[in-house]
Amino acid sequence: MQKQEEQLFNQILEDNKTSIYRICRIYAVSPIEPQDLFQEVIFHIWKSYSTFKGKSNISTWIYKIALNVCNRSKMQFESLNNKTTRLESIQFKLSETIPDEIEEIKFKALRECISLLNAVDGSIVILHLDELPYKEIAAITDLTENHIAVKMKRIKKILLDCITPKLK
Amino acid sequence: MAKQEQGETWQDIKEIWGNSSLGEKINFQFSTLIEELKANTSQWEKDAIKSDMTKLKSSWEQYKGNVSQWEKDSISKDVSKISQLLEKFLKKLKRKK
Repeated sequence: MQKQEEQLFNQILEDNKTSIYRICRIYAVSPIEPQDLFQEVIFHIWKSYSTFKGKSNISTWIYKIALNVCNRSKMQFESLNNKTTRLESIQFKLSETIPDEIEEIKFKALRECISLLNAVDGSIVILHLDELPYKEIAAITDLTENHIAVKMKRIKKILLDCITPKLK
Repeated sequence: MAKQEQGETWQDIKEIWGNSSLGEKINFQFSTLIEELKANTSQWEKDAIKSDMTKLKSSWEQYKGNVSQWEKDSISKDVSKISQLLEKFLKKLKRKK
């Protein structure tokens, strides 16, 4: 990798780290830690970087990798006996704004409800919550915009039915 | 559920999602990251292949009873053809060398 490419790669990671972490957090279920998933995603981004042709938006490509890695993580980690490689170059520190207990409960409720959805619907709602337009969601999931719109109506209903009693 | 209530709950969901990354700060040490990624590649790949093989084996155990004799014969023929072609290819490759 050339110096210039390296710099670009670093910038891509820096620009997308929050979105990637959010996805990892929603998919990480004990004993898998979000940090493990995050490192796995970074590794896959690096591995596929040379094949990125620039045909799609870079964030579309990043979301695709993150969702693929996270969706298949459970089975993979189980068969690896939870053995993951730690990258010392990525450090996680608790921020000053630590979420309180209520926020944690709310987050767990959201995770539980999203886990009720199948892999595609789960990906769609995650991308929607990350405020991606239907056009980009369609590009990531290989579905049409109309299909996304129809699915979103149904997904919204499932999520609302599931989460409303939990948030009360 | 009333539309207004649904709207409010959806806003709550969006807020929970937005806040879900606030608890942790992620810092990259870019000066060493690429080298570390390179160093880990081989082991990672080995682990990934191992994991895929385990998955395939367990799936096969589950489904092998459902595979008909015709399918087994068909796969066996395909594998035999592929092996023959591969042998021919390797022989040609050796001759060229």
